[in-house]
Amino acid sequence: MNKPSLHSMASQVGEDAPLLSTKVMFSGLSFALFGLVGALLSITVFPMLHLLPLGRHLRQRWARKILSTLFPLYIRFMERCGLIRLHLHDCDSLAPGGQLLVANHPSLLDVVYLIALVDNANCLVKRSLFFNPFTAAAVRAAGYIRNDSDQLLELGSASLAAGDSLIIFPEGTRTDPQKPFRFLRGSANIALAAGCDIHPLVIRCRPARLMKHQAWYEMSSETLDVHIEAHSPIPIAPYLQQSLPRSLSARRLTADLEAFYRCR
Amino acid sequence: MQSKDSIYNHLATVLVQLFEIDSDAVRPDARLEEDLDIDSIDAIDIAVEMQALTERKIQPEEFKDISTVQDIVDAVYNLATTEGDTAA
Repeated sequence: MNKPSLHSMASQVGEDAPLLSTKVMFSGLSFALFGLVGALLSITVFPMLHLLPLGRHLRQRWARKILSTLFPLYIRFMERCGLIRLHLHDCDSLAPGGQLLVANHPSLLDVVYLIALVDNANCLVKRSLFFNPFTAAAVRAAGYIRNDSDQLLELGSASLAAGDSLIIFPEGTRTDPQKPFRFLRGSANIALAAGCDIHPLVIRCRPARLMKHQAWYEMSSETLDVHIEAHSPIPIAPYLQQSLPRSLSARRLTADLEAFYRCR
Repeated sequence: MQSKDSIYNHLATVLVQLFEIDSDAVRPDARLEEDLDIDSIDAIDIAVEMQALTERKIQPEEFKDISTVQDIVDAVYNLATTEGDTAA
């Protein structure tokens, strides 16, 4: 079914760039697949979870289980299409729950990689995903935390205390290569409020694709190499022992986190 | 009854102590987010600190439309005044 469109697309782009156009087509297919499955689940499985007498906690676990089962399949699909190659470094340590995971955010798919990697992950997500028709049902069922919530610290701490792993992208949005690298202080504040060590993850994409200011079809003929490295945790105890107001400790911790990522 | 001056002074102390903001940077027209690097979590901390003056809990939505130092002073003043009226 895909073959005719592949040929027609290749002939449109020209003989000299067949590899590139195949990439663009597979890339478009991946996005379409994501949207299609997202929309399908949004009108079937996720609303059903709300109808079943599960209770909030169990419903969230099921929703997260669905996502952490589907996302690895999606990643494998993209690998088969030759779009990406995922390389994991020391990520076995991500298995136990109750960890606060922070990561830089170079590309659109970062949250897909991390939710695929981490079991029963909670995630701090942009407000807009709660209203996007393709993602709203999923993020609501999974009980993800809205980044504009008034109860950010309470919800984050409660989630970690309940044994969830909490994923936060402290940049708040995808890395903007045209702007200075800056972290928001939500992750540091949650770490301090919850008394949790911070587990830093470094994501690298080579060549840089799906970045801010780049359209999904701006693919190169090369396969995108995505490296995810888990680094040693940053202990929270020294920051708690400074007996400063949380607001000041959060500023120091955030500055240290930024410094850690700038060196990487 | 708090005057706007005493509210401003209390707020200036809070901003310096809680966020290590340079006291020279604290001016009525200073923008909280852009000039003073105050985020939404800090805003909640400020609300908690200013409750001492209003003598009632400040709801987050009462702090929603605030963008400058003077906006906080006005909001706290109005809350304190409303509180005084209901008490009287």
